[in-house]
Amino acid sequence: MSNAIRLLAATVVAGALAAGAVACGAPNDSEGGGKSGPLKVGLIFPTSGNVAASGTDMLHGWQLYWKVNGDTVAGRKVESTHEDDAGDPTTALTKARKLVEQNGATTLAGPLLASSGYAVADYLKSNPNLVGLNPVASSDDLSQRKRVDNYIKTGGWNSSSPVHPAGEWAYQQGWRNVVTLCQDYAFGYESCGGFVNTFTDHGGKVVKQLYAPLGTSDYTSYLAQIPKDVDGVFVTTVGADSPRFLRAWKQLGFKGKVPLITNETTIEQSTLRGMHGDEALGLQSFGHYAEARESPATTRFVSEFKKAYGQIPSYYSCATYTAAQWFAEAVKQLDGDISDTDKFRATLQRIQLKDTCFGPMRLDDHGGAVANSYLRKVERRDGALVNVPEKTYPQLSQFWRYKPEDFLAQPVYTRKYQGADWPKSCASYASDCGLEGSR
Amino acid sequence: MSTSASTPETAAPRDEEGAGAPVHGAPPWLGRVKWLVLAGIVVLALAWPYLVSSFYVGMGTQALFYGLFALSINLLAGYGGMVTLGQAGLLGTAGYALAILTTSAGLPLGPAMVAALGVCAVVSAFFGLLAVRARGTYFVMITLAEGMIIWGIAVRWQSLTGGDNGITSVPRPAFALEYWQYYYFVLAVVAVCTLLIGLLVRSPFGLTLRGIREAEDRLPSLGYNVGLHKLVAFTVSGVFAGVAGLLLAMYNNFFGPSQVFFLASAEGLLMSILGGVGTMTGAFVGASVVVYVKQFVSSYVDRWMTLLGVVFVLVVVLAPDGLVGAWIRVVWSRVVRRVTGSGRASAPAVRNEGGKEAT
Repeated sequence: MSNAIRLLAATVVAGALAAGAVACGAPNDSEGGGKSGPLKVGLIFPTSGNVAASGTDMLHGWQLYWKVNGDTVAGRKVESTHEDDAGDPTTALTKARKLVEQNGATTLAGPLLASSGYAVADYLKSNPNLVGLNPVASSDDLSQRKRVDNYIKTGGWNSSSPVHPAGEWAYQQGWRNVVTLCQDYAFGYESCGGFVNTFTDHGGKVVKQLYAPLGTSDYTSYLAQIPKDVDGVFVTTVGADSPRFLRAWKQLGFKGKVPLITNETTIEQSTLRGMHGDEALGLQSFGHYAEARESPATTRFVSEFKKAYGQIPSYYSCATYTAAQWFAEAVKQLDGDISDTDKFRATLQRIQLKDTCFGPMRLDDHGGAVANSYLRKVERRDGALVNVPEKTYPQLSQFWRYKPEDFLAQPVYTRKYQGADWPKSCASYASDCGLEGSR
Repeated sequence: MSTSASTPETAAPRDEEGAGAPVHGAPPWLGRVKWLVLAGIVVLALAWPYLVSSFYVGMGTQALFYGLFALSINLLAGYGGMVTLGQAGLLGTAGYALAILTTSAGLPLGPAMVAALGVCAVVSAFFGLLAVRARGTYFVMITLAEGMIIWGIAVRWQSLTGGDNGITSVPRPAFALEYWQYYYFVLAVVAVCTLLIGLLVRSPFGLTLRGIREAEDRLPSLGYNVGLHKLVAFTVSGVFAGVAGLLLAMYNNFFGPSQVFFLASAEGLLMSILGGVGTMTGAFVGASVVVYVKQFVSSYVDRWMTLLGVVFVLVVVLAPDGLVGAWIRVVWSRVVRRVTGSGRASAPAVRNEGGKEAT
């Protein structure tokens, strides 16, 4: 066992040396950023893995802004470095560190998935000298119960915000008994929760809530569970699940027979691009982006994007494009000096964009986006399927018409809590209760 | 350590590199070269934060705890012949336990670490009970299933594990908040664990384990309780994976389902094989390569997964004994042969030649 003793001795020596090294003090630490030179932005967009297509859209949106508007703001060049987090939170963290420590980025943008978003938020929380732009990770709690001050939803949204009006709309359509089908993870729960909460306020009844795991290849078994006599179905699917759902909906003969309303991601450009039949044609959905919206900001964005990348932009591209616009606006207002993080953060928080590809946008006191929600209908224009806004719900808060403090006293929407029994009365409404007295 | 402990004609993976093993007929300084190399590695590891930027210190930290993780797989697969695909589940058990205990349960870090390791040990022992009855492919399948159970809990039991979003704000020890302090903390913990594993594989228990790997059927007739040995090995290995899990959770201040997924187990096995199954340093070499490709090369190469796959295939085809094994076979044994006048190669080289013929 003399080897073991030698090993032991070596370790003890090593330990002593380590203790000595620690006592010697920190190794030199370099930090990028300053009052002159380029503004360094680190992008964490997943361009590989399950959500690669949407992540690529994010990258394109960001790049397009600087291509169209020039990459120099207030005399400072904006230098973006992209890293791929592959949709994994641990990788997102590593990449965030890499961008900050290697590339000297002082602003981070991204990521896509909520899970990565929470990880990055936590990293930003312990690095208050950095600022994070969050255009896509829509987790409700990132601007509600778990808000991190320097992680800002510039051009961002909440999973439940655009679908809060959907519940009310469905009731107004005469729906009384509905089934919901949502993706079985946080985003699906929050999206479903938004619909269920407002729908039940009016006295609507949710007969059944179905949840399909992300990556469900066949929706037949879920659609088979929908009772014949429902008034309507609310659906939230994401990514590659969306075309699969829409195909099953048509093939099983639901389309045109059972009224359907979906959230934004079910009927999104990334879905519509690949749909050559009429599975999606005429379907209605709620979302904060409508590519066929007629307004200078949207039409210009869409035409520039088409010119650059040959396709109609998805909401992911609009989100990062808007985040870039937001960032540029803040840099302009600060005359190029963003070295004071608190000032930079406050400026981002304060900015009101009169028009973006989403419509007018600003942030509320909690850091949630105040933006339009559109009731959209799929139409074919110039041979391509697009979402045409039918009705605009202007400048919705993340709290719908509820009182923020009452809303925040509730848990975030989960599979268990969908807000069906809340609120009990109009007292929790900040304005215009609008209940029809059937409770 | 005596070289007669293992039979020359085995095609099995290598034992430890024979560090410090007397090379017969070689000048006395040759045996010390290895110790010099080892000392060099130790010095390099200690000086690392002073040599490179914080980003590489972070990579070094990860290589260390992933190395420990790979080593725990190595202990089972390399020494005990039990290839596991569920080790990330055990790493995750400790990681999740720590994350839950320090955040929602509000326990101080120290007790939480002990408790998390305790939970990990219990789960490892339980999983071991189920798994060690089987052998070969069946053992692999059972461990795979066990790993997936933990993953299932991680994803489904939202109120406990945070589901997909994982658990954030896992603290680090107060004395190791800075990246370089944490590096030294990890270095110290990993060094102690490596030493313990080193002692274990050289102990009679370790020899029995190797006996099980070589001829599981013969050992009972010699009076060994094979099942108990395997169970203890499984549990101990699980606890070391758990230590890696604690270090991982504290490093990221985060723990999520992707860290317990089957792919994480496979990655650990990949590290272990890449470096050389049944070697101590191999685990760290393999972990370093994987961490480097995954985190650094991935910035420049979009298809870095493919690159990792190609590296893996090349290593398996050209050097089935892993990078460390190949190093010993190709470089070290040649040095030894030259010095000793080609007649008597070192024991590991002989063993390896046998291995080559058999494959």
